[in-house]
Amino acid sequence: MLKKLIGVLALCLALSPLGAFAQSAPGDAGAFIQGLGDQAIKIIRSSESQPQRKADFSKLFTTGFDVPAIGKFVLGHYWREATPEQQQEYLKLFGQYVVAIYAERFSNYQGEEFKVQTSKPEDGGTATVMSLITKPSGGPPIHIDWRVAQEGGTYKIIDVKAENLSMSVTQREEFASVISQHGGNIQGLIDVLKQKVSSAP
Amino acid sequence: MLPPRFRSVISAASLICALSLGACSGTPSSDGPAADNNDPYESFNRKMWDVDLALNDYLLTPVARGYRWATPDFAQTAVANALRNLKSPAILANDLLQGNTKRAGQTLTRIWLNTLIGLGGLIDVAADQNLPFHENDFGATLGAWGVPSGPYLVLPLLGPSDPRDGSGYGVDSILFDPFSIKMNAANIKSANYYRFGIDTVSGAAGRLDETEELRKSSLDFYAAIRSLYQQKRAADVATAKNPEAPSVPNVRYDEVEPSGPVPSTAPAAPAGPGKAAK
Repeated sequence: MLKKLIGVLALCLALSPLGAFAQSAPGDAGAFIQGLGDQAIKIIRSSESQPQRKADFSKLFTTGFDVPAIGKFVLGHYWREATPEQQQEYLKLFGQYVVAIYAERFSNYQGEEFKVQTSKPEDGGTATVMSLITKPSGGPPIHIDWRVAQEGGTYKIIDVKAENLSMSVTQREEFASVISQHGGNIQGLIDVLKQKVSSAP
Repeated sequence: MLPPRFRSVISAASLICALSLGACSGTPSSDGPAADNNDPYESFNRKMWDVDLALNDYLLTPVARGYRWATPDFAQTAVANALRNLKSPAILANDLLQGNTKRAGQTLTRIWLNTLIGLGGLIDVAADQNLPFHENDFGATLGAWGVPSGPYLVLPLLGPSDPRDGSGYGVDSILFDPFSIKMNAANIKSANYYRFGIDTVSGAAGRLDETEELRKSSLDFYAAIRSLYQQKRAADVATAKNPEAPSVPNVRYDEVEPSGPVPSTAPAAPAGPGKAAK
């Protein structure tokens, strides 16, 4: 059980094409996601230096993902309890944190193929784009669902689900747990995040 | 796949937990995992989790690394395939108990194909015939029958579980496992111990990097695993109920109050009227 969970999650994180690309055709969430994936793979395959690739990647990431919306969601009801300064600092750190995670995992890319299957609109302007990641070495493909929201003529990713495991929900429970271990103090989470971000490679 | 005696102990313990703790157990699967982590025994669970991690670090990981280093990839795949094949009768039983005849048919065909043509399960020939492997277990069957999961529990060696899934594990590995039944009947109990050992090492070898990475990146590894486990089980139960279209509730992104001094872009996706009415 555990092995599957971790495997699926990490694989998804490792392979999820992150990146962003604001000029994809509005009304077509699937094309938007496929575009991001192609972009991300292009970066990873480019002959640029490692720091340069990391920078490109980080830029793609922050434009393709709605980091502030995800960050707020992940903080849950604690968002309202935070002071404006804490909110600011938290969002900044959260952005650095997720970019670092994804960049690290994305560096494990081994020629996987990324294909968008279908896209399903939902109430309220969101859509779920279903995609498959196939390993060149064979093995079962991995299902990744991208939840996107339409924002001002373009799309932004608001959640990633690997085999039905939601990144945002997982992080939300993790963050809540960190906060409650610090006696319900949001500053505790901010400090932990800060430490984590500064120790990232 | 634990040795039988150990399995019955765990299974019995889970059942006792299920009975005695049933009153205070929530149902993480129906409401989505977001709100409540359903973990009233967190302090105990965290200690057990530390024990499991220590076993993992000092015992399992070194062995798994050695296994991965010493064994060629194709052999590792063959071992994993064979272990899956041994588990397939239990999967078939649960497919049937859930009334999923289509999946049961797939599992049955997989068993025949892989056992006869795939050299006793070493080669997954069925997967190439559009019959991919799927997991199933009695915990999911119980969930599909409406049995609540009970509180989150971290078990020794087995890791994340709950009374329902722990009991399900016992049923799968004692009642639904022809290999283990045969070996017990023939008094070759050691075969079951070996199988458990190989299964554990093979599984660990397949997830070494992922585990390491998730552990390194998470702020609270315990809470991340708990959340993933509960989401996974909710999805498994949804699949058991309806494999064609499992209904896993989407998280609502309007749960967080969008107003207030928000230094950000527009909040994601206001809820539609249908959702808001709920």
